[in-house]
Amino acid sequence: MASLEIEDVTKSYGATLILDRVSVAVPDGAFLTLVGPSGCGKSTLLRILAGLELQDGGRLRIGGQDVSHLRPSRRDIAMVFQSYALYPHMTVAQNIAIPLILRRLPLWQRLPLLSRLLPQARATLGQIEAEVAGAMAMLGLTHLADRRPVQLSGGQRQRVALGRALVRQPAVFLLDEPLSNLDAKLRVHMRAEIAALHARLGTTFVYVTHDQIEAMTMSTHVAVMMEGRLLQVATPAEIYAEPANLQVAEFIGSPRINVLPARVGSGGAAQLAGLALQGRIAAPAGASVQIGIRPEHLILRADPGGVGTVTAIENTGPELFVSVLTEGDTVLVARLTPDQGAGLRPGSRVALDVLPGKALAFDADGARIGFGHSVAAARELYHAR
Amino acid sequence: MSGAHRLGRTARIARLVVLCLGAAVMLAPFVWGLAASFKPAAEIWSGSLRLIPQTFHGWENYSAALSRAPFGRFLLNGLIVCAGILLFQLIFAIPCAYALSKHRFAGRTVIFGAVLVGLLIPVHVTAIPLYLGFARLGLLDSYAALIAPFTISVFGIFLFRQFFAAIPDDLIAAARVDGFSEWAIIWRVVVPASWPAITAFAIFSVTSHWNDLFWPFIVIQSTELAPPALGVVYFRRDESGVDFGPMMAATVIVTAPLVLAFLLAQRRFIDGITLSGVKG
Amino acid sequence: MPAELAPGEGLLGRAQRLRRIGAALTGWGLSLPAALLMLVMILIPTLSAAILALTDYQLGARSIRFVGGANFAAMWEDRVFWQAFANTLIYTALTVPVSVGLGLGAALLIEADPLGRTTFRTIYFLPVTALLVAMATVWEFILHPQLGLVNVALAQIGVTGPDWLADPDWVLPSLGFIFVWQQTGYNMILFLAGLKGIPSELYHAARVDGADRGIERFAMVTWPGLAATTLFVTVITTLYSFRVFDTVAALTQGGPSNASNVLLYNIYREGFVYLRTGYASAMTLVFLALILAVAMVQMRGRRGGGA
Ligand SMILES: Nc1ncnc2c1ncn2[C@@H]1O[C@H](COP(=O)(O)OP(=O)(O)O)[C@@H](O)[C@H]1O
Ligand SMILES: [Mg+2]
Repeated sequence: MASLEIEDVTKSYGATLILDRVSVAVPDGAFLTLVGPSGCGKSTLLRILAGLELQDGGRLRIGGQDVSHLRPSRRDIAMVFQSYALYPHMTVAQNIAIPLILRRLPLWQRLPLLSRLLPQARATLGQIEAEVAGAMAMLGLTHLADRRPVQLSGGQRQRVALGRALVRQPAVFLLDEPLSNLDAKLRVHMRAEIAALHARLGTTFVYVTHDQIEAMTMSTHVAVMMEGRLLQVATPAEIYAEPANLQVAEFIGSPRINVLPARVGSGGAAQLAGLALQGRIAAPAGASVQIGIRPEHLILRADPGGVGTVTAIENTGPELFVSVLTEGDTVLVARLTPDQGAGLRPGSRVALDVLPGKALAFDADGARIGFGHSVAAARELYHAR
Repeated sequence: MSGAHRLGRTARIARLVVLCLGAAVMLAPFVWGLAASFKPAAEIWSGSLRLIPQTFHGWENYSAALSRAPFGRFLLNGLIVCAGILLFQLIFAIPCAYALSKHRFAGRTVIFGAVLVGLLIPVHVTAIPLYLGFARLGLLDSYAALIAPFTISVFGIFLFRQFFAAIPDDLIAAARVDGFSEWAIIWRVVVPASWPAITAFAIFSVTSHWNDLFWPFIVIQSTELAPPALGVVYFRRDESGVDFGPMMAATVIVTAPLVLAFLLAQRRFIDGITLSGVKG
Repeated sequence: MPAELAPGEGLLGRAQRLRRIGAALTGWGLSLPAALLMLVMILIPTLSAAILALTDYQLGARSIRFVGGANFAAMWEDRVFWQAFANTLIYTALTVPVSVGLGLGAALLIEADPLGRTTFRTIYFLPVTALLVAMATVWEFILHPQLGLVNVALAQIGVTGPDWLADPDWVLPSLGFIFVWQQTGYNMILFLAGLKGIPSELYHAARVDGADRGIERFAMVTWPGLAATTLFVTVITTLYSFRVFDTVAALTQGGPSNASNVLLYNIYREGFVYLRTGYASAMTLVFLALILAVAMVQMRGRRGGGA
């Protein structure tokens, strides 16, 4: 019972609007990733969720309970910070134990001497020690129990920070770019570890990152934020395949989606330089629109009479990114397997095609608009390849 | 890390000679005073440059000094006053510095402005009104008068504020999420993370108040309340400067504690003076 | 249902307002004791000194009268005040360049070679930790006209030394010497910290750029690198030398015939011996003005240095 609802949350610093009526709701056990470029307000939203900042307006509910005005320690959340925020003067074990001690022992029982003497306090401390040992074992920290944070590597600190959060068994985990201080290899490893942790605990996670790969690989729900607004909340697959607008389409996916200006012809046909697209755009004839084509949906065929010229080929091993200069001085990027691109060299002439039904249409303001297809025609084209 | 990485032989010898000459001047009063505290009057006034006493008169000199003035009492007073001052300074300055560096609230700039103004005003400027105030309250000639004016250290606030500002905001946020109260954050998170600044300040504070003469000179009349510096002045006044042996013994007695403390914890003293000195 | 929502919004608004007020209260709660003490121990007394300076108040007197600038006018005519003022400036002019220069020299020499670094640093710093009035007594003994170490040593090379602390021409330099003895080690420590702050790459770069001799590297790297430290050390030393009191009170009481009377000692005497509180307060304002002038020089210098 720890669903999460964020409703119309607004925040400004001085005259600058940082969060503009942000609303998200996810069910219990979700892994919600807030993704967006740096400075778009992700951390601010997370800190408001934690109760560390005060929102100007809006409500927050955790497990159905309104926590909008509760202190951080009353919200049943735990947070992992980008800088880990470990207490430098405490050992690993103490760092992990402290949230439990603060919650379970009344002030007077925390006095160093008393806690040893009082049987009740001693029992609680024993219980805490057991839980801390469990958390450390789970994260492979047992042999580091008596070290201080300065004596740990980045990855180990990260794990202590996770341990401090999960030992509490909170209703919601908040993680603010927890992997951004790690090197690339460790990042991939910890990504898997955090995903596994989520699977094991089944608790709701809210995870902030500017890295779309993290967002796509770990989440059940991705929320794309830009300039203080939530652009779309959906599953990773849906965000990728059905972006709600051009900004989301451009932010998610690497290499970036190709965007071409087009005009709507009679009957909704797309008119654009060098490419023939099937299907009807849901816009009046004569309107200018933008067509988005993912690199992997672009088909290149070596053709001396083709309209495109290959300008560069990037080989990453499993795939090739081929840049093609086409009519109207636009450069499109296609993602091919090495086999598909075997015959291509810089300077090769190519003909361009698009996998049917995969092109996306956006209106002049970037909002997604319908682009219907004749399914039969599409199938025919696909098999012809 | 200075300019000259490799010194020639001559330069090295010259360096040693100059530094040793300087060291001799620096040490002269310590050595000469210590030597004199073991000499009988006749030897002190013989005009000889001998360092080692011919007749050992140390016992007589030290017991004379201790019997003529309560030096133990002076030292105790110094300890009480310095400890009291430091304790209050920490209790008041640390929360204020924490609020100034980690809280945003209306009036923060006003308080910080007052700190900056306070940095420019030495006790010599406030001495007369403070004296009148203490007189009105009947508090002259008391420990309270010695301690109270220094319970607030604007320099301490300034130093701690700078140091606390370097503590990551995330650490404070984590403590709030973990359930620490603001008061507990100060004493259990911020203070343990700031020991270098606190020791530096403690050394700075104790050194300056142990040595202070001006304020005790004004507010204290009773010998029993005199801190070491004032005790020396009283002793000099009573002895009218003829009996140098006991006087030197007295000097050794009041100088020794801080000098020994320094010799035992040199690194800390020097770091402390550096840290509290480089406040610009 | 909508009817219930409206008060709900109001409740939330109130909770938020309470939390915001709570945050402000926490800030104030934590700094209030310190703020009050600053007010009571520093700001109000300073203001009171400024007000007292405009009155004829005498310590213990029943009456107090507003006299405007009369105290300042009296000061203008007061030869003793002017002498104390001049003595303070002379003392500062004597001691500051010497103790800053020696402090810098000691720091450079000590850092120039590893041999004896810690020992020398300890020895030079030792006077900073010594109780000044007590050590002044030893200096008095060493400077004794007939039997002191200095004059006995001088006599052996055929020079008759003066009565250092009783000769009007020598008393200020002698007190200044004691100040320099104590301050040099302090300045040295600050310069050592300044030297540590100069990145060693700069020295390597200077070497690569052709600064082969130590003196060239000093001019190119060390001296510019120490500019800020030097300004700060000079300012701090100046402020300390303005405050000269202990040695005067213990050794000379301003004598002979005011030759070693300095501002603070004069303030003490006017305020607490002659009990002319109003007049002494006026003099503390002059003292404060001196301090503020020096502080302004420092701010100007720091802005000029672009730091
Ligand atoms: N305390 C603050 N005062 C003023 N502006 C702030 C404060 N905290 C954050 N901001 C601003 O709010 C914006 C969003 O910040 P943040 O939420 O940290 O972004 P993100 O985590 O998405 O990179 C940024 O433009 C930042 O400069
Ligand atoms: Mg952020």
